[in-house]
Amino acid sequence: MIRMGFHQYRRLLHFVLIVLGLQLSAAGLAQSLTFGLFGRLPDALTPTAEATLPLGDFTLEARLQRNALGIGLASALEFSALGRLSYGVRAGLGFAGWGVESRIGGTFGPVAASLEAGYSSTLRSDLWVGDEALGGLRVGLLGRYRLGPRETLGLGLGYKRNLAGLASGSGELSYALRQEQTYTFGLGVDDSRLYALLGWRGELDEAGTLLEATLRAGQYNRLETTLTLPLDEELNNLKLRLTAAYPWAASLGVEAYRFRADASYDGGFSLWLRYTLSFGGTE
Amino acid sequence: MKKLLAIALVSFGLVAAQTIAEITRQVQANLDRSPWEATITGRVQLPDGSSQDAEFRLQVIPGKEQLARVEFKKPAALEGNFVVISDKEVWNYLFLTNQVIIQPRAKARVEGLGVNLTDLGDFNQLAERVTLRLLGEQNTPAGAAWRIGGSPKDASLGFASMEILVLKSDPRPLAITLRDSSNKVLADLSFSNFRRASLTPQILRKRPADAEVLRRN
Repeated sequence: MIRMGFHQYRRLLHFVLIVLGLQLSAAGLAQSLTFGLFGRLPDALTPTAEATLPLGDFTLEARLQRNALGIGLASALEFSALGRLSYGVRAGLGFAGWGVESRIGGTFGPVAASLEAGYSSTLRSDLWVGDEALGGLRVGLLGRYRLGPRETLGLGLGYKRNLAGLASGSGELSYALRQEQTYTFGLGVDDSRLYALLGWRGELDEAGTLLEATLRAGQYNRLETTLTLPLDEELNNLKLRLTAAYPWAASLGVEAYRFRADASYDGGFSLWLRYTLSFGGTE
Repeated sequence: MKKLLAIALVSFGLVAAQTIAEITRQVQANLDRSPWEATITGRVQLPDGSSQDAEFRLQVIPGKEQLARVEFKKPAALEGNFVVISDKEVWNYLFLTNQVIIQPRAKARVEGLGVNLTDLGDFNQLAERVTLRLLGEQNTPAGAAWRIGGSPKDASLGFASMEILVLKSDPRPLAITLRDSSNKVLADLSFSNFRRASLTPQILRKRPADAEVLRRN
């Protein structure tokens, strides 16, 4: 009986998702709709849908997948070239549990800072496939300070307490020097593992092809590279992302026009294909 | 005698009005002739009340699909930030976060530093927002210039009075001063390195390819 109720509930959720998606697109309210299909070996498969629509000065975000949905509200104050202040909240609910998170970030003149805090009663990836496979409390602080026109100091602090009550912290201090290219140097600690940070970012040709590579090496090892090629004047780019880490984990992402594909391995293989429809306004 | 004086005053007013309209027309025609760029330097008062050295590069493509780019060099905290303004949209690039925020022109705050710099490239728009009057003439290192005073038609522009110097031989702005209601200088900027340039929309819209694009409505 309970099992039957569970299936009916799941079917109802399916209908809600479909109807909501159709309503948003039919009413022309949604500013963007992203449909996707996520699969993880051996047997996880779910459609995904993301929608944003305007609500006055706010933007309502909705995320849907087979067994969970999430609703978010975000807004920002713009100060032109001087900076901006953005903020938002999001809540997720699924068969596996629930989660909430909030974020606030601001840039004003030489200072940029953001603070994120969230709690989830289950793995965040159970509520949204794109999120990390960790539950519990998560707090993150990021700050950047411009020492001069060409020098920027960065600070990142993080704290996590998982569902088993185990706590871990992280911190990273970096210095970026911008010349024709940008060079980044830093030191960090991730859950008692020390590492050094080296980064390079620069344009490769006149067309504006841009490569960014960041290496964290030591007791924690991770290489992130992104190659971006402008395709046209309409802000369309071809983006290739490659991340490799040890202990072994890797991800490869390709993004062009409305399509996006992300493949990853972190003990298991997964693939996420997405297609975005834009209707103007906030994305 | 009084009647004669009144007629003389009215006539003088009409001539002055025609003159300022003619100057505005000449400046607009000159700036609309071809794409151009200029460096604007001086001091501006920031919203926190402090006064800062300022240096911007203004690039303008005139015409039906006018496009302007304001690139910040000083204050140092803003170097690398730029604003691109078209009829429909305003792009605002923040170097520190590598973000391009795109807003509809009608809702975007372009002023930012107390002065809408694009008005200097669009004299017709300036004349729509500000009541202009000819104050006289002045010699400058660049040559003889008209001194033009202005008061905003709308208090929301953020200043109480303005003064612009316009070069007579090549009608274009040379300097602008904005003051608040207590006559305190809010911005004192001068134009230099004015030159005609072969600018294209691609050049003015140039941005880091990996910048995060945020659209707002």
